[in-house]
This record gives sequence, structure tokens and C-alpha cells, in this order.
Amino acid sequence: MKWFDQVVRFLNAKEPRSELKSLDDVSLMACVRRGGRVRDEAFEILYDRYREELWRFIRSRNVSEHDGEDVLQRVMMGLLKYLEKETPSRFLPIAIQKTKWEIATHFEQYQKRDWGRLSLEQMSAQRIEPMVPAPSGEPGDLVSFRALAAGAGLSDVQEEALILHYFVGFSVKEVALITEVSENVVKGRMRLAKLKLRGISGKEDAQ
Amino acid sequence: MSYLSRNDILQLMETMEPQEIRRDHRTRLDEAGLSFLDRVEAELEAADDYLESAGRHFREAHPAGDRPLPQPSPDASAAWTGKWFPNWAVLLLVVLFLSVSLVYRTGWGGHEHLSGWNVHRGANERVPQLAEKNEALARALVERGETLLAAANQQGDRELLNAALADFLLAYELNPRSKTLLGHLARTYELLGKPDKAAHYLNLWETFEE
Repeated sequence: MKWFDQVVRFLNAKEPRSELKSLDDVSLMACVRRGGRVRDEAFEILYDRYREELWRFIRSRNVSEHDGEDVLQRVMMGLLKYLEKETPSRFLPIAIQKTKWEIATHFEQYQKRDWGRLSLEQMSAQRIEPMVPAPSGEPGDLVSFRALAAGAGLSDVQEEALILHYFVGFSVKEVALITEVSENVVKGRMRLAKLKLRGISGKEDAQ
Repeated sequence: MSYLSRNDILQLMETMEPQEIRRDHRTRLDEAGLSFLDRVEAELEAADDYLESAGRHFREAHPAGDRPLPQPSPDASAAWTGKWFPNWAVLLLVVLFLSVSLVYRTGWGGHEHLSGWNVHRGANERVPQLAEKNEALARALVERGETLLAAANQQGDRELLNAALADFLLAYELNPRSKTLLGHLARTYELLGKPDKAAHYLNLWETFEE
């Protein structure tokens, strides 16, 4: 009764997740595509792996906490549906693309109809977006990082690279995956951006 | 950062050999450039530290927490305008098709009289009319044949008998279900001197069932 033992062991296995946890994104996506019981577990592991980053990415786009949950939910449901049908070569670029799309849709809906929530002006007054200490001002003074970057003349890709790396918390490799360029290009972009932002740290005055 | 001024250069040219001047100039330029690069590197590091601390601050301010994997909620999939519209359209098309075909089949629209698109229905309806016409024609032929037969009996004319036979045969083609006609045919063939055919029709007359 070898097969019976195997079935019993499989049914009694409390945590098959420990085996799945060591898999990389592509294998997990393949598990999701295969469906069945493995699907939910594999997708949950994928979610756990990138949850922090996705959440911070949503927040860095100036989405409030309440709406951010909706956006995250829609993103994950959309990704699950997508992964049931197809297996892309990378998870992260797809996830970020979907998140961007959902955030854009979210703001589009805000502009279209009044849901009795915060208006765009109120939302920008909430100052969720990455806030950094003002370069020349009181210690507690905060300014919007985007405004600062615009003032320093950063291009969009440079600003995006800085936000993804420093504020959202992606590694340089992951940023390169997301923005679909090589790691060296990302490093160059960040170096140029930091050159443009040279004056903001305030250490120049000390020297 | 220091560059050589014109006076410096002139002064150096007076006191130093050209080789020395060149070497000294290179050294001082290198020093100036290196100090500039050092300063840029230091500023870059400062910007890096600044962004690191700001990013850490942002990350700590917005933790994902133990947010569980969101489950599909009913109101997320309740956007029926987007989700169900194609199905509604398909249903509407099916209902339209069924209602149009029903009206067409029953003829409630009266369209069969309006155009020629439904002629085959008219053709089906004309079939009984044709049968009635054939019956009337057969009756007329039988009447004429009876008259001719009577005249032939009186005059003993074979031509008239042949004419009567032609009428009876044509009437038999148009309407074979008539016992009288069978009797007439048998009688005419008998008068014409064709007993086998007369026997055939007599046989038919005897076995005929109305």
C-alpha cells in the first residue's frame, strides 16, 4: 500500500509551503498556472515576497491608505487571473505594470465621479508622497521629493529610479527589471540624479 | 582649486626650464582636478546618505504590516456594466432574432402580402386551388365525352367514339378517382372493339372504392 501511504502523507502535510518557499518567481508562477491546491499557496508566497514593495510603491504614488488597499486588492486579483492564463518570464515587471495601471484607473475614477471621498486637492494636502527633509530650513521641515526633483531638473526616469530604489526599497537589479534597462543604466541614472541633487544634503555648506 | 594665472605662467617661464614648466603645470592641474573630483564624490556620498535616510523614513512611515492576501469581494466584481455587457448584448440579439423569426413564421406582420420574399408560402397555398381547377376541368371533359359518346351511339360514328375516348383519357389523367369515368372508359373501349382494355377498366371499376 505504498500509494496509500503517499496519499495519506500528502493529505496530512500541514505545510507544503515550506517546499514552495524556496522556489523562484518563475516556478511559483508555473505553480499558479497549474491550478488546484498549489495555486493559492504559490500565489500567497508571491504576494508575501513583494507585498512590502508593492504597498510602498502604491503609497509613493500618493494613494491614501484606504484607497491603497482597494488598489492592492485589484492588482492582486488581476495578477491572479493573468497568471492563471499565462506564465510571463518575470513577475515583478508585470506586477508593477499592473499596479501603475490600477493607480491610473483609480485617479481617473476620482476625476470622473465624486464618491464622497477626498478630492485630489485634499489628497495632495495629506502629503502621502515621499517627503524628505527640506535642504535649507528647520529640522522638522518636510518637502515633497517630487517637487524637489522637479526643481533640480531630474528627468522622469531618473526620478523613478531614485524612488524605486530609495523609497520603495527595490534593489538595483529589481529596478533594472522593472524599468526594462540594464543595471548599469540604472546606476548611471541614479548617479546623474544624485549629481543634480548634490546641493540638497546641506553638507556642502559645512565644508 | 587653483589655476595658473597669466602672471604666474610668465614668472615661471622666467625662472624655469620649459620641461620643468610643463611638468609643474601638469602636477598642479592634476591636483586641482583630483580635489574637484574628490569633492564631487563627497557630495555624491552625502546625497546618497540623505536619500538613504529619507527613504528609510518613508519606508518606516508606510509599512505593509500584516496585510493578508486580499480576497475577491462581491462589490469588486459587481461592475456589471463592464463585465456583463457583452452577455446582455448577446441575449438581446438572440431575443430579437427569435421574435423576428416568430413574427415571420406566423405571418403576424402581414409581410407575405407586401413583398415577394415569402413567395414559396403562396405557392404552397395555391396547390389546393390547382386541384380544384383540375377537378372542374375533368368534370367538363367527362360531360363532353358523355355527349360525344351518346352522339356516336346514335350515329355509329367511330370518329366521335375516338374523340369521346380522348376526352375520357384526359379526364382520367386529371382526376383518376372517379367510378363513373372508369365505367365510361370501359364502355368506350368495348364499343371500339378493344376487349382487353375494356376488361382492364371494368376490373378497375369493380374494385373501385369511393
